[in-house]
Amino acid sequence: MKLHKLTARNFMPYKGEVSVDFPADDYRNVMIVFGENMRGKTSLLNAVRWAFYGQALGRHSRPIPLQLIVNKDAAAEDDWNVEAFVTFDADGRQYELRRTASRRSHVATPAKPEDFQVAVHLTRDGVVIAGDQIEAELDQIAPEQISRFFLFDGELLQEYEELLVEGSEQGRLIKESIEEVLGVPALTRGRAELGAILKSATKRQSQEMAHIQGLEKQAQHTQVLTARLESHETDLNRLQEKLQSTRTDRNELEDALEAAATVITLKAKLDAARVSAEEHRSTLQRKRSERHDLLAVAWQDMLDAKLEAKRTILRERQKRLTDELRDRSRIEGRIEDVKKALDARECPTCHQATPEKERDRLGRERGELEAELSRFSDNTQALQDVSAQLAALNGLRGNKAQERLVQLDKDLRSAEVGLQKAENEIERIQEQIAGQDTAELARKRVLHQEALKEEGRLSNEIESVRRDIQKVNDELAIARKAIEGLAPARSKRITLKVRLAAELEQCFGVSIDRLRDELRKRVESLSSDAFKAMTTQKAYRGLTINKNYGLDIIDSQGRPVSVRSAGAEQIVALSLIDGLNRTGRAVGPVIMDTPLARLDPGHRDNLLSYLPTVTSQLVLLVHGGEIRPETDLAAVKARLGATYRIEEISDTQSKIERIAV
Amino acid sequence: MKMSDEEDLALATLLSVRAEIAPDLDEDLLRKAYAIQRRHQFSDDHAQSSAAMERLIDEIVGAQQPDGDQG
Repeated sequence: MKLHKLTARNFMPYKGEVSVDFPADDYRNVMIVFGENMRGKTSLLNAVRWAFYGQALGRHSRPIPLQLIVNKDAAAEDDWNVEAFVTFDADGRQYELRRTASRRSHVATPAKPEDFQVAVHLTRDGVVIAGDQIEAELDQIAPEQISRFFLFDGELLQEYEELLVEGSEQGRLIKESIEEVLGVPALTRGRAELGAILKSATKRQSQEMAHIQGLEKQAQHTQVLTARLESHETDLNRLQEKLQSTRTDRNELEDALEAAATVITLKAKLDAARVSAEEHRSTLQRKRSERHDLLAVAWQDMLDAKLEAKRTILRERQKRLTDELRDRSRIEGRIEDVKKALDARECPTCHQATPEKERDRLGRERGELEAELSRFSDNTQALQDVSAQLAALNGLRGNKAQERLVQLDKDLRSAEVGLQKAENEIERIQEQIAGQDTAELARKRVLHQEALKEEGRLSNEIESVRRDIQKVNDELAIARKAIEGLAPARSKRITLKVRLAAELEQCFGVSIDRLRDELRKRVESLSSDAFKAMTTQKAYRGLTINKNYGLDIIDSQGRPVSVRSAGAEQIVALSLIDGLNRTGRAVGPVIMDTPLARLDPGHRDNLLSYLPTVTSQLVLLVHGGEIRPETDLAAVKARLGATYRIEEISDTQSKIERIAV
Repeated sequence: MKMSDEEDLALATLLSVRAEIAPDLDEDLLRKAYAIQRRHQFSDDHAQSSAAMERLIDEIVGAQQPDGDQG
C-alpha cells in the first residue's frame, strides 16, 4: 500500500483546504513534516486516521469529539463542514477515500458528535464501493486494529515500554490487544462460530435420535450435556459483560482521577496542613499551661540561695555527728575486746597464762578508752533532727523558672509561627480547590480500588467457568464419538455435520495457542533484527521476547541487560512496534508522530537509516528538537522524497507548506 | 497490504494442526473455512461469516452424503 495524497478541510488547526503529497518513489520514500509543538503535527496524523477509521485520537487514545475536530475559526464563521480526502493504492488498485462531516440541518451550534451528518465514500479503480462494504474493504487493506502499529505517536512508545514491566496491568491489556490483531482473530472467531454451529447441530442430532429406538439414552445424555454447556456459557457471557463493564467504569474513574490529579495532590496537602495546624494548636495549649504552672512556683527561686546556705551548714553538721557516732562505736567495741582479754586471764590461742606485764598494759588501755568514751555525748537524736531539717529544706528547692520560661517562650513563638504558616497554607489551598468536590474524589478513589478488586474476582470466576466449559466439551466430544459409532446414527446427515463441525472447531481451537507461540517467535525475530539495525551498541546480540511480549536486550555474552537508558527503552519499543507491524500486515506506509524525542543522534540516525528499508513510505512528524533540517538529515537525505513545514498563522490556525532542504 | 497464503502463519498453523489431530478432515474445507474467517476477522458482525461457515459445512455434508437421512 502507498499513500498518494491527503487533502483536509477545516480539520483542527487547518482552516480551509490544505494538502500534502506523499512520496511516490520506492527509494526516496521518506517524508518529513517539521512543526513545533501545538502547531498541528498530530492533527495531520489524525486527518489520515479520521479518513480511514472515522476517529481522531487525543491523549490516552481518547476519541476527539467531532465538534472539536472542526477548525475553531471556521466554526466561528458558521462553516461546520470538515473533510479528509485520501488517495492511495493497494494490491495494484487505485483508491479514493473521502470522509465528510457537516452540521445537521436542525442544529444551530453543534455540541456533540450526533449533531453532525457523517458520510464516507470509497472508490476502487473508479468504481464506487457500496456503503456497507467500505469498512470491510478498508479492513482488508489497512485494518483499524493494526493501525496503532503504523499510525502512532510518542505516547504509544511509552505505552509499549509498559510491556517491559513484568506483570503490569497496562502490559496485560497491550498483550491482549496485540494477540487480538496478529491474525489470531481469524482463529478465535472461527472457533467461536464453529462452536455455535456444532452446538446447534448437536442439539438437532439429539432431537432426531430421541425418536430412534436404541439411541434414546445417548440422545438424553447429549441433551443434558448441551443444556449444561449452555448454562455455563450464559454464566460466562454474564461474567464477561460484567468484567467489561467494571473495566470501563474503572477506566473512567482513572480518567477522572487523573484529570483531578492536581486537586488530589492539593487535597493531600490540605489534609497535611490541617494535621500540622492541629499539632501546633495542641503544642500551644500544652506550653501555655506549662508556663502558667511554672509562674505559680517561680517565687521559690527567690529563696533558693538562702536555703542553700542553710542546707550547707546542716550537711556539715550531719557529717560531723555521723563521724562522732562512728568513733564512739569503734571505742565501745575495743573496750569490750580488752575487757574480755582481762577476764579470761589466758591467751585465747595458746591457752598460756597472760603475763602480768601484759595485763597491766591492757588495764591501762581500758582506762584510757573509758576516759575517751566518757567525753562523747549521745548525739543520735541530734543527727535525726538535722536529717529531718535537711529533708524539709530539700523539698523547697527552686524551679529554674527563668531558664525554663525562656525555653517555653521560644517554643510558644515557634508553634505560633508554625500555626500561622499552616493556616495560610490551608487558606491558599482552599481557594485553589474551591468548587472542586474533594469528597467526590475521595469516593472515586475508593470506587477505583474496589473496581480493581472486582476485576480480579471476576477474572478468577471466568477462569473457573471456562474450566467447567472445557470439561463439558470434553464429555460432549466423547458422547459424539460414541454416537458416531452407532449404525442408526451414522446414516444421518446431521451426524456428519456434527463430526465436520467438531473437527473444524478442534483444529481452530488447537491452532490458537500454537499460532500465538509462532507469532511471538516471528515478532521476536523481526523485532530483534530491527533492534540490531537501530541500536548503537553493536555488541548486543538482539532481543528475546517473553509470553507477555516484553522484550529483553541480550548482551554479547547472551545475558539479559537489566538496566536500560530511556533511549534504549525507546529503541526497544520501536523495534517491537516494527516487529508487530511487519507481523500483522504486508509492507505499508508508517506515519510516526514525534518518535525521536528521547533518542541521541546515533540512535536517531540509525532509525532514519533503517525504517525506510522496511516501509513502503515513512512519514515523520517531528519538531526542531528531534531533527534540525540544517544539520541532522545526513542519514536520510538520499531517501528524502518530500519535506513540509507547518507554520503558525494564529493560535487557532496553521498552514502547511512544502519546503526544500 | 494483504498477505499472501504463503505468508499466512495462521493458515499454515491450521493445516499443520489438521495433519496432526484430524487427518481425515478435508483440507479444502479447512482452507475455505479459514478464508471466510480471514475475510471477516476484523468485522464486528458475526452473522455473515457464521452463515457462510454453516453453508460451507452443509455443502460438504450434501456432497459427501447425498443419500443420507436428513431426519
